[in-house]
Amino acid sequence: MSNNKDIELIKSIKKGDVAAFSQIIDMYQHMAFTLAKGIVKNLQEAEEVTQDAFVKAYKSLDSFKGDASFSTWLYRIVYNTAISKLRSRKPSTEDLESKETIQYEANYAENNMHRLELQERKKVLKKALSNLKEDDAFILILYYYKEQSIEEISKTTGLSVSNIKVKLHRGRKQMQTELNAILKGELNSIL
Amino acid sequence: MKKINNDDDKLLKELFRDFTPEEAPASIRQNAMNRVLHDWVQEPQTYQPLINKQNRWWIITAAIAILAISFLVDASVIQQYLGDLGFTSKQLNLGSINKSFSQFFAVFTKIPSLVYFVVAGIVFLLGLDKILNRLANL
Repeated sequence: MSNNKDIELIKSIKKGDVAAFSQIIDMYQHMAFTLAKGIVKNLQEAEEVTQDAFVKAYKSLDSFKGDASFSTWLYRIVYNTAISKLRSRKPSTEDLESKETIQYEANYAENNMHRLELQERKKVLKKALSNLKEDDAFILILYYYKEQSIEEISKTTGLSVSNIKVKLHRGRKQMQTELNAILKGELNSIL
Repeated sequence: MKKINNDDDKLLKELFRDFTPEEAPASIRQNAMNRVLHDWVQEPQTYQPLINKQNRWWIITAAIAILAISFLVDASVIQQYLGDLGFTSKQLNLGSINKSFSQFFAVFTKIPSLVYFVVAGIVFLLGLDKILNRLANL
């Protein structure tokens, strides 16, 4: 369910108070931008996607009935816009499979993450997220940061529950691999 | 497999505890609002008229009814006005119609005036409420 502030703002916008939409942007722009960047992996494109998503949300505000939370509805628009952006690109020549061939070392990353300072940890996490495949970062952020359930993520993305589970599993594995690679690089640069 | 998943899960949960969404560039808000306002300006502005078509007919009917009632109760002023315009009682004999309707309306004179005031008050309040509702939705 949407919170009361969202509902009040949406009512005002529907009545013609367009300025109230800027409050909606203020409330959700950071998360929307982060999620968009999680998919498109590019600052400029993430900015475009976030803008487009907000404009689309404004235009289709009448279709928002309030049975799901506003954030779920908005993040779905962000997700669809980002995926469309991704598909409109030329196929990437980057060999993503090669990243998956890096040996899986579960304890290595965990042990080293404890030694890092807060700012470093944030940096490492962001870097690892930016290296994930397509929408895996989007799903991991919703699951671990927004603490959404798999069913909620399924609503947000329009993907099936089993698909989300697969993507979560793959995302976790890939995160581990990315963290290992980043931490190894950091250690090598220190040494 | 389950063991590995739990380890991954634990590590990620811990990592995401420190996670903060990225600061969105200020241009997002500005550009999005520019586009939203542009879209809003392009939209045809519609408004609900205070007096819609249905109400208009009611108002016209009510005005005619009031005129008719005032004429039937006391048509002498109208008769005099028509006389000034050159209409004679032969051309337009309003007197007999006025007389017959005056007899009919004599029934209403027996009703206490308080009833009329109450009815007028109720109608006025209903009308006022409707107008204020319309103004609130403008």
